[in-house]
Amino acid sequence: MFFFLIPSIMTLEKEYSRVFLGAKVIAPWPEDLPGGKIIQENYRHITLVFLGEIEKKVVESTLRQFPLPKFSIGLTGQFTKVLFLPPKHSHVVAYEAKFYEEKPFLFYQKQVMGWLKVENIKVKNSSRQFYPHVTIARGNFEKQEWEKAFQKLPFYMDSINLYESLGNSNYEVLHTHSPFAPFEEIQHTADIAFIVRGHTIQDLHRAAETALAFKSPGLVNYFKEEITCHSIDEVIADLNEHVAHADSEIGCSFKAVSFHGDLQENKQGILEWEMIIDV
Amino acid sequence: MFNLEQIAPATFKVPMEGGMKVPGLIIATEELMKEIEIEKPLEQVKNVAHLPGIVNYSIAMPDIHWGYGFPIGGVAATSIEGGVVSPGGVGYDINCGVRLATCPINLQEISEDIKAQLIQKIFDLVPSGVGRELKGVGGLSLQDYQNIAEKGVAWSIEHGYGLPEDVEHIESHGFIEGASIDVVSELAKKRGSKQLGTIGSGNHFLEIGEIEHIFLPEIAEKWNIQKGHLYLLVHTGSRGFGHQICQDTLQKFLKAGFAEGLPDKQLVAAPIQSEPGKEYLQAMAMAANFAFNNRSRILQAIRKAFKEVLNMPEKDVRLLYDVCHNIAKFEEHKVNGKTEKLCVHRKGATRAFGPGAKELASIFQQTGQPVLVPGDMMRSSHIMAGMGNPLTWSSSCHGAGRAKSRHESMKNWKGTDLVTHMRKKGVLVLATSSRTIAEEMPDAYKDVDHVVGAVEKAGLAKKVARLKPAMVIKG
Repeated sequence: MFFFLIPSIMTLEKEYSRVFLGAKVIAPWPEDLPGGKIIQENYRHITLVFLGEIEKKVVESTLRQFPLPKFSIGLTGQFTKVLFLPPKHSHVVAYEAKFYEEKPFLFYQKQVMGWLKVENIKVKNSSRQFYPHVTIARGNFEKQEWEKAFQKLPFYMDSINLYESLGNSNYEVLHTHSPFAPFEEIQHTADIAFIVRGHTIQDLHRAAETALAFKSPGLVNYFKEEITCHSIDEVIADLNEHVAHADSEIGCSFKAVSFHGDLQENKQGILEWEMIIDV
Repeated sequence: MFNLEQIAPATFKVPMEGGMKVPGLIIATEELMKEIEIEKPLEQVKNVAHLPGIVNYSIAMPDIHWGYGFPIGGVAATSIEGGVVSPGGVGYDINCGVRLATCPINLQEISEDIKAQLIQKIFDLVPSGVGRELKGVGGLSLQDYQNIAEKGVAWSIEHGYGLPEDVEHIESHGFIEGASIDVVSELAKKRGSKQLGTIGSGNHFLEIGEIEHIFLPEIAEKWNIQKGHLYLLVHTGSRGFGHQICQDTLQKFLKAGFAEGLPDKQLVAAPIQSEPGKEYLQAMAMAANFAFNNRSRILQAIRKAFKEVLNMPEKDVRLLYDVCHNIAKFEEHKVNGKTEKLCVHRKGATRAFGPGAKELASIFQQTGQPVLVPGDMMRSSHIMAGMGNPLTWSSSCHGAGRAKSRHESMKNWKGTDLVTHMRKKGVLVLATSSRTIAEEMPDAYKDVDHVVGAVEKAGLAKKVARLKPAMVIKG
C-alpha cells in the first residue's frame, strides 16, 4: 500500500499548479509598514481571477494564451482605504484600488471570466463580486496601527500576469503582458524628468499627476475628479496649482512643473510628453 | 568642438546662426568641456541669443548645465529700451543665493562630541526639508510683506534676525528697489507665509567646515579669513514664494503671446518697459527681498546655536558676504565705450564686481567683491574675489554644476547607508530625507576645483581660499 501511494502524490505535484491571473501594480510604497507578514513589493497585485489547482498542461497550453486588454497604457489610480479581509476574523490587510477609469479594467476582468468559461476552465467563487484590491500583509496584525499608518497612494498597473502561487506569499510569473507604462522617469541633469504617456490630454494629465505623486504622495489629496484641460500648457498650469497648494499646506518635495516639452506621437500612436520638474 | 572659436583663455565664442541676435560665449577649459554634456546647454545658449534687445553675447559659465529656457550658469544683458526681461533668465527660485560667515575658532579645536551637538542644534533651529517650517511662528501678514518690499533685509535686522553690520556684506545691501506686494498672487503669499527662515529641500543646504587653504593672503587678511578657521555656508532662496511668482508670471506671459518668435517657450519674455514686464520686475524684487530676509534669519538662528553650544558671541559669527545667483538686475556697464544701463540676467551665475565698483562697501572696493562658489558636500567650496570682467558683465560661476541627474545618483547609491559613508569620509550629514542625500552625493557634481580654475583662467574672479566641508545639513 505504502509503496504505491508515494508515486501517486509525486505525480499530483508535478501535474498541477496553483495559479491565478493578476495585475501587478507599482506604487511609492512606504518603507515602514505596521506588523504582519508583509507581501514583497514585487509581488503586490490585484487579483483578476483566482483559479486554484489547474493541470499543468492546461496552464501551458491554454492559460498562457489569456486575452489581452484593450488598453495599451497601464491604468492609473489611487489606493483610497485600508481593508481587513474577510471582515470577520480578518487575516489579510489590503488596499482598496480605485482606478481613475474603472470601466476598462472591469470590462477586462469580465472579458477574462468569459474567456475562461469558453475554455471550460472552472473558477472558484465565480459569482463573487469583483472588488479590486491589493493584499499588503497577512497573519497577525493590529488593525488600528494599519488604519493610523494608511495614507492615500497613487498607483499604476504595470502588467497582467499569470502567476503561480508557490506558498508562503511567494509567486512566480508564468506569463506576462506589459502595456506601456503611463510614465517613466528619465535621466536629466535638470532635476526630475519623466516621459508621460496617454491617448488624450486628459490621459496625459492623469499620468503626469500620478508621476508627481510618486515623488510626493501627499499630492493625491489635491487631485481633481474632473479634468478639463485641453492643452499641455493648461495641464502644466493645473499640475502647478496642485503643487502650490500642497507646498503651502503640507510641503512638497519639488516646486514646479516647467513649461517644457512638446507633444510627440510614438510609433504606436501614443502621445508622449517630456515633463521636467523643478526641485 | 561644436564650431567654437577660442577668443581668450578659457573663453570660447559660439558663432551666430539662424535667428541669433548675438554670438554665444562659453567660459570653460577644453578639459572641462569634455567632462560635461555640453550639447543641450549649448543649444540653450544659442536660444537665449534670440532674445530681443540682448547685448553683446549670450554667456555661459563653466558650471553650465541644462535649465528651463536659460541654461543654469547663463548670463544675458538686455537693453532697457527695446529689451526684454525673461523669468527663465532668473529661474524659479528667485534670488537663490549663498551666504558665507566665518568664526575665529579653529574647527579642529572643536571635539567631535561638540560638533555633533552643534550641528544637531542648528538642525533643530533651522527647519530644512519638505514641509518643515518654524514652530510657534505665525505666518507673514500683508504688513510684513509690505515691510519686506520697502526695507529688504533691514526688516529682519530691525527685529533681531541679523546684525546691523551685516548689511554692508550683502549684495545690493540686501535690498532690491521697486518691490511691490500688490502684484503678487494670494497663492504666492500663502506659499511663502511660513517659509521665512527655512532652508527647503533639493540642492539647498547648510555647510560648516574649515578654511583649508589660502591662495591670496592679502585679500584673505582684509576679509578676516584665516587658515584653519571655521566657516559656514547657507544656500537657499525665496522658497515657494519665489517659485509661485515665477509660475504666475510664466503663465501670464505665455497667455499674452510673449513667447512668439522665440525658439523655446520657457524663454518667454516681456518688454522691460511694458506693464507685464514692470510687474514681473516688481514681483521679482519682492521675492529677492524675501530671500535676503530668509538667509538673514537662518544665519541668526545659527548664531544662536553657536552661542548656546560654543558660547560664542553673535558678532563673532561674521558675515563675509551674501550673493544672489538667480536674479535680473539693472546695472551700468560699458557698451561700445559708452556707459549704459542694462538688465543683467544671472541664472546660476554670481555677480563678480571688481575693485572700485561703486556699489560695493569700502572693504570690497579695494579687493573686488567676494564670489562664493559652493562645491559638493565632500570635496571643496571656494571663496573668490571678483575681477569685474566686462566680457561677462562682471559675472562668474555659482557652483560646481550637476554632472549626474538626481535619478542616476539615487540609483547609484541605493542601499548604501549614506550617513555612515559620509562620516567615514569625514563629513557629518544630517537630513530629513535620505533620498535627498542620495540625490546630492558628491559624485553627482562636477569637481568645483576645475570650475573655479576655468573662472580664474578666464579672468572673471580669482581664488582667495579653498574650503573643506565637515558638517552638512540637507533638506
